[in-house]
Order: sequence, then C-alpha cells, then structure tokens
Amino acid sequence: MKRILHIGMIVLIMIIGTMALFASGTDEAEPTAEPVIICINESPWLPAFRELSKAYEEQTGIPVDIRAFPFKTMSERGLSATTSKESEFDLITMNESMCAKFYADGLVTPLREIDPNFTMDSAFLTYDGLNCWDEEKQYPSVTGEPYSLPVNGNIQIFYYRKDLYDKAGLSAPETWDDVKAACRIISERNPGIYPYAVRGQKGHMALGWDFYPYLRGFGGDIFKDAPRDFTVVLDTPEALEALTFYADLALNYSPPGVSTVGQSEQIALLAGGQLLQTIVVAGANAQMDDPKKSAVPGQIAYTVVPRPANGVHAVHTGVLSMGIPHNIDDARKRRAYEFLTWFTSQESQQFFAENGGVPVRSDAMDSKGMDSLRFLDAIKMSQDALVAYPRIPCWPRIDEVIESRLSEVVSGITTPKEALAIMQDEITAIVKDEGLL
Amino acid sequence: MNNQLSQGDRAFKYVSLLPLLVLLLVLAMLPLAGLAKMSLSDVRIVSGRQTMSFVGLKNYREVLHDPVFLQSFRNTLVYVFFSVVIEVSLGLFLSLKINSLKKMTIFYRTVLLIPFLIPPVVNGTMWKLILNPQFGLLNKGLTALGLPPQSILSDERFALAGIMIVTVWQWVGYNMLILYAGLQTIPDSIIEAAQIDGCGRTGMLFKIIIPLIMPILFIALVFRMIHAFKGFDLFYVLTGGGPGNATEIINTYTQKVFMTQQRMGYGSALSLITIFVILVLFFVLQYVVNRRSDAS
Repeated sequence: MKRILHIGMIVLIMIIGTMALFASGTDEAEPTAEPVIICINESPWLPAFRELSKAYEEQTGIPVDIRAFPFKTMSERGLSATTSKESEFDLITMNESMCAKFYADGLVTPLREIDPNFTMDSAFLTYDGLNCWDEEKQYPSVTGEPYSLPVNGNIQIFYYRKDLYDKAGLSAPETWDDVKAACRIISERNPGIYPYAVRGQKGHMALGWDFYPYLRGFGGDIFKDAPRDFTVVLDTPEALEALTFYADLALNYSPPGVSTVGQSEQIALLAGGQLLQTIVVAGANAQMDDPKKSAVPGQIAYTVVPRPANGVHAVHTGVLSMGIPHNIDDARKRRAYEFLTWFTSQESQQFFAENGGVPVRSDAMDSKGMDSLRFLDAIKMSQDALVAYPRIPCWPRIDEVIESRLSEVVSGITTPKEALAIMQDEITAIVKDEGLL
Repeated sequence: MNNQLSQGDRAFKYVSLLPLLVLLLVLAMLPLAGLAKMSLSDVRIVSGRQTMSFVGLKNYREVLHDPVFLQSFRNTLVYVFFSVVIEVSLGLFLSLKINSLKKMTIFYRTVLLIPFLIPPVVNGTMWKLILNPQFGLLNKGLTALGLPPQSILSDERFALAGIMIVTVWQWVGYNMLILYAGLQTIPDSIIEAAQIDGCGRTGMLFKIIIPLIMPILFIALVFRMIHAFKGFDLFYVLTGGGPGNATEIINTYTQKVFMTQQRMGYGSALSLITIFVILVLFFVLQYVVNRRSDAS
C-alpha cells in the first residue's frame, strides 16, 4: 500500500510539473511572426541580399528565412517546391532561362492576383519584360502580365587591372583587339599573371552564357529571329568568327585547364591579383575592393564588355527574378508580396547597391551618394547593349547542347567549325521536337 | 524442419510475412510502377499540375539514338570496371600487408579507413582543390620538382581517370577492411601446412588465400560494383560531366534530363534502364557466386 502511495505521489508530481512547464511556456512565449521563406542561389551578391533582409526584419519584425542553394540546383528546388502539394518556400528565385517555364506552367502567381492595384513604375528595369508573361505570344514580354519582380540586375561587365593597364600606358579596352593587345603587352611584363580567363567550366548557363556576347557582338545569333522564327543560324560566318575568336582566348590566353575555370575561379583569380581581365557578373564587384577578400583592392576597374573592331557591344543579362509560388495560402502570398515590393523600392535598392548588390531600378543607380560605386558606371554604359538568350521553356535542353559543345572547343577536343555544325544539327532537332520549328 | 511444420503453422508463417511483403511492395514496387508509367508518357506541368499523355515506347527509342546517353553509358561501364578492379586489388594488397604485420595493425587500418569516412562531396571538393591547375597542390608539387603542370580534370583523355583515382582513394580502405576480415578467418594451421609443403608466396596467394576468401572477395566486388554504378557526387563536384561529355555518366545525365530539363518521361526511361542494368549485373554476379559455391 505504501509502495502504491509512493508511485501515486511520483506520478502526481510529474503531472503537476509537466502542466507547470506548459503553463509557464505559454505565459512566456511571445507571439512570433511567420517568416518569409526564400529559395535563392549562392552567389557573389548573396551577402548584399542578406544585409537587406536584415534591414527588413528590423523594420517589420518579420523574420526572413534565406535558404541558399548552388546556382545549378536553385531552379530544381523551385520547380520541386512549386509542383508539390504545398511549396516550402514563399518566394522562389528564377534565373532567366527558367522564368518562362514557371510562367507557362502556372507555377508562380500573377502579382495582380495578390494585389489588383500592382503596377511597375517607370524606374523599374524590366530587362525586356523578363518578369511578365504574354499568354498570347507564349513569351516573356513587357506587354504581358507581371508574374515576378527582378531582384538583382546582374549583367556582364568587363573587369580589368587598371594599375597594370596604366603602367603599360593603355586605356580601358573598347574593342577585342585592344584586349588582345593588352594580353600580349602586359603578360610580357608580368609573366605571373594570366592575361585572360574565359569561363570554361561546363554548367547550367555558364560557358554558353560567357560566349553569347561574343556571338552577338560579331553579328551572329542562335536563332534567326526568336521568338518569331526559331531557325537555327549557327552555321553562319559570323558565328564561326565569334567562336574562333573565343577559342583563341581560351586556348592561348586563358589559364591551363580552363575547362575547370568556373565563375568562382574567375573571381578568385581576379581578387587574388593573378588575372589581368575577364568578363564576370557585375555582382562580383563587392569582392574586388574589400581588403579582406582581395589582394588588389582598388586596382580593378570596370567597363562595358568590349566589341569586335567591326562589331557591336553585346552584354548578356544574368538577371534573377523572384516569384510567389501558386501553391501557398493567401496569407503566405501576401507576406511574400510585401517583402518583394519592399525589396524593390528605391530606398531598398539603394541600400542593396551600397552593399554590393546590383540594383534593378534606374532611380536607385542615380541616387545621391552612388557616385562612389564605380561598377555602376559600367552597368549604365551597358544598358543599350543588353542581350539575352531566348527565354523559352525548353531552353535547358538547348543549354545542355551548347555547354557540352563549347566545353569541347575550349578543351581543344573539337574545332569551332565542327562544334558549330554539331550544335546546328542538335539544336534544330530539339526545336523541331518541341514544336517550335 | 519445414516438413515437421503442420499445415496451420505453415499458413501462419506466410501470413506473418504478409505485412512485410505488402510494405516492400508499397515502398519499392509502387514507385517503380510510377516510373514505368511515366517512361511511357509525355509528362508536362499544366497550371501547376502534372499531366501525362501516353506515347508508347517513344522515350525508349529516343534513348537508343541519344549520343550523350550512349557516351554516358560507355563512360559508366569504364568507370565501374576499372575503379572497382583497381580498388579491390589494392585493398587485397593492403590487407595482406597489414595482416602480415605484428604491430600497429589498428593504426594502419584506421588511417586507411579515413578517406572512406569523409563524405563524398567533401572528398570531391578537396580533390578539386588539389587538382586545380592554377593553384592546386598537385601542380605546386610538380612545379617544385621541375615537372610541367598538369590539367587532369580538364583534359578529356585523363578526366575520367582522374575521377577513378579519387574513387579508388576513397574506397580502398573499405575494401581493405572487408578483405582483412576475410583473412582473419583463415586458420593459421592451413598457412603453416602450406609453408611446410614448400608453397611459395605466389602459390600461397593464388592457391590458398584467394580461394579461401573468395566468398568475401565476391561480396566486396558485388557491393562495390553496384555502388559504383550509383556514382554521382564525385562527378557532379569534380567535372560536372565535362570537358565536353568526357565524364558524363548515366546518373549525372539522368539528373540533368529529369531535374534541369524537366523531361520527366524521358528521364524516367533513362532511370529504368539504369535500374535494369544494375539488376542484370547483380543477378549475373549472384549466379557466378552461386555456381562457385556449388562447385566448391
């Protein structure tokens, strides 16, 4: 009997203790705001995004949960989330080639479905309607319905060592001939520095993305007149001239083993003071002047991507846009929308640029105090030269062909002529299979 | 024993197994059936929902004419064969050496096992840095010795071999451990008897040791072959399939088709072919092992 009483007492104490614990937990718990959960890529501009998100948390009390993935897998995560029953993310980041797929398949919510009064003011840079989907044309266009908002206006800019250019008595390169001349002159005097580095590593929108401004600059293109005519035109003399030039840069001026040089290696070589010049995304600028990250702070200058002597400047956009998944409830959609519109306001974008991000608004670039951000000049100079891959849902298939064949060229496995002939056939087969031709 | 069971007991035996059987069917066969259905369909996403339209064997016919798949398949076979043969041979050599030691066997076993304990992605990243042509440790060493720098992972002739080297480095300790355990089962008396009979080192290895540890050797081979067929992470981290398609294997290609290109019907066909190849390999090896067991 005594034993039963003891056990009863112990059980009673445990019950009271547990209740007290729960009760005190309830009293002390503060109401916590639901976070905005964002799927984004690891990138040179991610630190700036984090800084701005912190500012949002401080201003609104709403936590921002940033989930960063490698660029290659970011779109896959977004697709996986938006094709499941309920998306784990409130906002998904889409690269240029994937936007069309998200819009066409109805995976992101039209912004006017969340806020019927949503409009984009004239200061917004739309990058040829990247964020809008024209249902009739089945193509992103400024005439379409807004489905997302650009969050980082990344474009290619040309990075070069101004100190070495100055010592050699050279001015900022205007043409590719200027670039090659600098390669020869400066590398003779500085044998430890690589004169150039193409982005030779095969990936998703990596090597092909790097090559596209050369192709367009020399007067070539992939399609005759996308989205109206998807006839492949890689069999032209202009395309051959562009790829021959690119192969020369890869095989004769770039570091050995250039097919393992990706964007992060390009940035590391530049910041490490081992590379004279190359094309990289504007978002990498933050690392160049930071003495903690750069061996040559203040020595890197920026300009528009050079052009062929008889060609035009062509600058590939690498803009990332954020959309709100279709498969989340209205409260989550609203929360995501509030964050997105705040993030793209003039004030926020100015703060973003000050932290190394690339603003998506012209008024943020022209704001007072932005003169010190040297890379912005190169961005402004590039605005009339912006070009982009065709934004079609089947682009990843075509991208795979381009990446593989260009990788063979920069590795010296195939000649530019052979690679272009193969790409011509393979891409034609894909567009026919997709019903575009 | 079976004959001694009553009819009721026998029925109970099968009924007891039923829940497990149902669970296996649900967990293994249903996803496979889904994959098979998708492989015969054109799968598209419309308004956030997956739609399938039956296309018969179109995806399978396309596989046979896909040059990237054919190269991936060839690369996979080369990778599996050479990396497994080398790592098992090296594992056997090391296990024999350690087995012959009187002291510090635990130390050597532990050290050799370390690469196996490191996650493959970390291994890949580490080797990517070591083999980096611009600032990698390998080229620094070669340059210090007055030798020309190498670009293993960016040279189509050596890139696959480079990944095999990393694979062997990662798995040799595991093979060593398995085979070392096998060597421990050989009674000393057999070795001593062979020595008394004048058996030399080569004879001892091929006529005594290998036949005695053959079942374990086969287990190591089968396990590693199946595992190597499932290789992905090292390729993904080290080369991404390049240069060109020189290191593209079935798994990296299927991942691109399935996830990046979102061609789920075609990707399912590729997946099923991979599963089929692994199953065939497994049954062939199992058949060989059974025949050897029966013979012995």
